[in-house]
Amino acid sequence: MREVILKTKNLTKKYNNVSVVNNVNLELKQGEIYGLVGKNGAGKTTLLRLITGQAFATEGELSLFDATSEEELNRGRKRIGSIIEVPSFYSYMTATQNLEYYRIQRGIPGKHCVGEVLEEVGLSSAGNKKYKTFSLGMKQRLGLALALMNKPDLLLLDEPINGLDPFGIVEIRNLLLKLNQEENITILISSHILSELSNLVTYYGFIDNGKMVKQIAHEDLTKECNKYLELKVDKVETMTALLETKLGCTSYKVTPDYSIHIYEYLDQPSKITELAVLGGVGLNSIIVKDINLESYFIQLVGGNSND
Amino acid sequence: MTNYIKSEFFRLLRNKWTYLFIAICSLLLISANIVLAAVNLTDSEFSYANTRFSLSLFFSDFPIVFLLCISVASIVFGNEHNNHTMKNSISYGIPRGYIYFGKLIVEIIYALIAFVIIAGLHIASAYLLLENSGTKDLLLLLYTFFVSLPLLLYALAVTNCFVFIIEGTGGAITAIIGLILAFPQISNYLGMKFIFFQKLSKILPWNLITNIGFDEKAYQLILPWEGTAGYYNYWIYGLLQMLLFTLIGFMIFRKKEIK
Repeated sequence: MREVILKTKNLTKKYNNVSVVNNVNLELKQGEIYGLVGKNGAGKTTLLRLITGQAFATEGELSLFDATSEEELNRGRKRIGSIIEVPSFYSYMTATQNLEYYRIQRGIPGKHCVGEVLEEVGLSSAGNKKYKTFSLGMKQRLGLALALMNKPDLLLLDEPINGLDPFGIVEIRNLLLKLNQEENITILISSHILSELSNLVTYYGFIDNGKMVKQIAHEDLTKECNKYLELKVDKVETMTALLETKLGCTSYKVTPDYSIHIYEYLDQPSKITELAVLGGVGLNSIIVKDINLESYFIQLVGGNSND
Repeated sequence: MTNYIKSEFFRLLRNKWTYLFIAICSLLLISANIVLAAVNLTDSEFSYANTRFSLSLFFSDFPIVFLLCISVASIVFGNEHNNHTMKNSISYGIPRGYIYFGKLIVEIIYALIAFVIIAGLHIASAYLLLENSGTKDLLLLLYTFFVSLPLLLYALAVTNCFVFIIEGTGGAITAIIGLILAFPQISNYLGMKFIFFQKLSKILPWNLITNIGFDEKAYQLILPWEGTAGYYNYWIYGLLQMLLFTLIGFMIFRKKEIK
């Protein structure tokens, strides 16, 4: 069984009595890539700030590598690499100097690691450039270099592809996948660019108004996002019985509004129609539907309220 | 904490203001000696072109050194709030105590190094360019430095406290100036009416440093308390107030959220 390396229990953060993070329960197992999905202001960054110790929880518990006390949590944080909000460095120092500053501060042995991480994130030729001359994409890469410098067990990345060009996005995605697959680094990545997450994550957490509204494995989400036949009939129970007995179809579900979602026979809707007619079930509508990650998310959190 | 202090020195050595601060202060003091020497060349009656006058200018202006401690601490702090760089240290699990006290230690070391260089260049230029009046004034300078040292540490500690807990530079500087300059002045005025403020104003560091007098014949300091009690009191009141603001700053910083 894989080790749980990050766990929150009813983690809550309030500002002026308003919950920004509200009773969040999250469990991150070693080797997972957990995608934290939410609108702007949903509480993603605050949750990451609580984990990294930049902010303090109002209520609830945080456990990192099984540590819960403040001193132990700080020890655990040494095994984390993070980019929270925008990467921040000293503008008057070069990329190499900035990383060297943090290398000394963190007590990471060997000067060579600075050059290595710069190369890993594609910044080896910009090592001697001052940070103030960096583009947003280069700043993101340098932030990632800092996060990787201590060879972390857990990476916390807050919108890490902001400012990257399409090539940069692919490059960073491949790097994260490589780190996860080859070095077994666990990753918690927050984003609102869902298409990017779908290429990367193994587990999703959907957060809205500070609440974790749903956590779901990638495979299960893929199933939920699959194409399906939406059937509206007058006798739901009779129809489901017919599906099972006559067609041997078990891949379906009945939704709270009494629609039936059938994940089979997508290319043969006439068979379903025929079954309903022969079974004496009144058929109101039959539509082929599909749902992508964006639609799924919007349905989950209520699209019109997006700020 | 050693790693944190080492990293701060690494950064400090790469900040141009680390050098500019020392260079500007040194040049101003050296230029005073150059002016004295130049005037002496044109006016043979001029009686101030000697090391005695030059050094007395320095030790009688120690309140300026006190105020320069604000700049020293600000340079070392490195505008961490505006740069948002402190989050990198906190996220990595560097204890807040290491950061707070580490910065203060670096500020003290840098301030001492800067003082030694600036004072050294001033003294050297005075003895090179001006008439040598002997070494007794150097002794008075050393006494002034010794008695002012806890007050200078207080100025560093107060600045460290406010730059850590107030995010805006303007707000922090206002609070520092308010506490170390305006508050003693207000206490002085209130002291005319209330005994409590009269007693309080006597021990506030700004008043302590501006109340140092000099007996240039006996080469001694004139302090508000006679004898060795004067030296002891300067150290006790200076260090106690330094400790007070160091602890207040740390207690607040421990609970402060970092952006």
